[in-house]
Amino acid sequence: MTILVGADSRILVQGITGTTGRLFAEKMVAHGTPLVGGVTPGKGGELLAGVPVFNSMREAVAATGADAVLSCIAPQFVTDGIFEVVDAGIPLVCLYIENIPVHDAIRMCAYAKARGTRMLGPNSAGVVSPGRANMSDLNDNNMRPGRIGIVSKSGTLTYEVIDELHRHGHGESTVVCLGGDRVIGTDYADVLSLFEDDPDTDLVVVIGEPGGGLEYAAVAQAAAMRTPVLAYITGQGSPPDARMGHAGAVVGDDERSRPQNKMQAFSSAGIAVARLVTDVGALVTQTLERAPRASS
Amino acid sequence: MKLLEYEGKALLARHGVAIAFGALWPQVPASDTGWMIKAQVLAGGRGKRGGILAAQTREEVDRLATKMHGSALGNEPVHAVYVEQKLRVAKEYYLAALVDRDRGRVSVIASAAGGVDIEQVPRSEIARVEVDPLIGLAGFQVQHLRRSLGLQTEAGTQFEDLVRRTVDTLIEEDAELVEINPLILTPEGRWVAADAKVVLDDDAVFRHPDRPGPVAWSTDSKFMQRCRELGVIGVDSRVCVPAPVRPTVALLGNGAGLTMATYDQIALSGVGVAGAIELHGALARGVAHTAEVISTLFLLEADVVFINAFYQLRSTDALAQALLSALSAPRAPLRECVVVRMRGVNQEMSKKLLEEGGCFYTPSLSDATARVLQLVSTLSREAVK
Repeated sequence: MTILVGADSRILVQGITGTTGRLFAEKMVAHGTPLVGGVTPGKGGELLAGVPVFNSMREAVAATGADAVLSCIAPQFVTDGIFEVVDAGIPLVCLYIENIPVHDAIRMCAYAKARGTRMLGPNSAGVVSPGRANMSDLNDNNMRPGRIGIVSKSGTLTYEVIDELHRHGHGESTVVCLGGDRVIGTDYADVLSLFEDDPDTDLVVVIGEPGGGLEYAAVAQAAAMRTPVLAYITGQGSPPDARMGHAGAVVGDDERSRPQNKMQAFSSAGIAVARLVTDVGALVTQTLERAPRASS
Repeated sequence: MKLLEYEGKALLARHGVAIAFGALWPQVPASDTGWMIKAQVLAGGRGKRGGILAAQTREEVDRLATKMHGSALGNEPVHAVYVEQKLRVAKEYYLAALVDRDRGRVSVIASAAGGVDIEQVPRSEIARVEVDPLIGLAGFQVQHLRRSLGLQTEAGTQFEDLVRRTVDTLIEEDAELVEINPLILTPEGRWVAADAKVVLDDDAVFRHPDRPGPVAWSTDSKFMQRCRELGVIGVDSRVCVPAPVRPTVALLGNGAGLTMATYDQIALSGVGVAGAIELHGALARGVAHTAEVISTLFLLEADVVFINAFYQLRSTDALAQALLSALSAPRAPLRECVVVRMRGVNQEMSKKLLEEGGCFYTPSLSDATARVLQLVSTLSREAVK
């Protein structure tokens, strides 16, 4: 088992005939991700990367039984695109596009929540269960199936943490990127509770950053879990008020948004905290040794 | 992006929120109640630091405004001087509409304790409602705010209208924050926004093509302005207090998370970071464009340059070529002061290019960090000699 995506997923790419969508589709097929089709209005009936293209989400779902969508359509169409995915009853959608206006994100997230679709993003690098299904921009060759879960806003930091895990002999069960925007569809606590129920995840690395306070809900969730959790919060040295690339990552006036306070919250709850990203690998090994998961 | 008071007020006025009659000095609005002279800065707490002054005569306006013009408040330059007709005040209130990022919704906050920092007001005196985007601001919510502030009769009805207009301003102007503090009730029963703090969404600029860029940007460093032109994210830490101490390091990373983590690798070791650039997809726009971005990094005039790129599906050759091209331009830093950590498809090719070009290359972030810190310590020792 893994979380969110696995070998039995049935994945669609929204915007499959665009440059980004096509690249993702070809990568998925080349590495054995269960891609069942794609959607581009007006291109229905074509084949791309060996899978059928449909005109609408509802058609695609009826024909393929799809249960997950990677959305890579142009920003000006994306709000409507997400509405269509939600309307078609898809349980999981990952919104890869960045630079989405925050008021659009608010509407998308609200509609998805109201209709029971779990949305990752906007500005999410995706979700991947290595060796089973890859609905992300991570390179399949850079991953190793294993027993460590990762949940992060950032995509590039998961690359770094995965590298750290491999240097210390670990691999990944599922890597979940929430997206770096101010308003996002799924938070850390949601994903942690999924990892808690996954018998194939022995430890979860939470990667936090400046801005907002979603990490605090993660602290409460992590403290109640049997599966050990480890946190790394980036941006400790970031100057106040600077947007460091993520729309959401700004150290503002709000004390709660500061990385140091988030780290303190994790530590106070007894959760191991890595100071630098290059400390994560060793700390994972140490934490696993200290708190072996009760066999259940 | 944060707006100055007068820019924010112009947006509120477009949505029918009353503001005091005002003008940018040297223009002065007509007034028979005297004037307020207000330094246009982004930082809060202007009043306590001499940024808001009262004047009774035109001569006094000119004298005070002349002094304020071109000065600084703290370490922020006064971007402009705004002169307003002085308002008569019956009572000061607080009203704000904002994006509550953790809840993923618009919130409206109101209080009868206006004119002070909202963080200082006890929670029991603050009323708050959350707007469901699927139904919009509901009537009962507006009435709740009105009742919480103890407003009755005509002023209460007009307050409800004002709340709606403030939320409209937030959503239609694609703002993250619209804060009116103080919100003034005049003895005649009119509501007037006496101040405005507006933060706009950087990602919605395309929806407002006629809107000029924020005035405060014009005093940003050449580095920051160049980053904006090139579509990358720049952070200029030289303006921080205290300023980074030499020898400093300039950083370039791909992706927000990795750039922040790289910043931490250096800054948490006690070494000064002059600033950083997050490439923000610049590589997709070609070698020449990326070389311009790297040349912009050199504007930070740091002693050591640290390039940290980690790609999954992309080759780093173009980045290596761009770096070498930027390094061969005049006024570029010495190659021995450049540290490159690159990961990506075909990274051996980049390694070869960079090493032939005289740059230090490693695929390991730990090794690259160690190298940067070692260079900095050597430079410090040389400076002492």
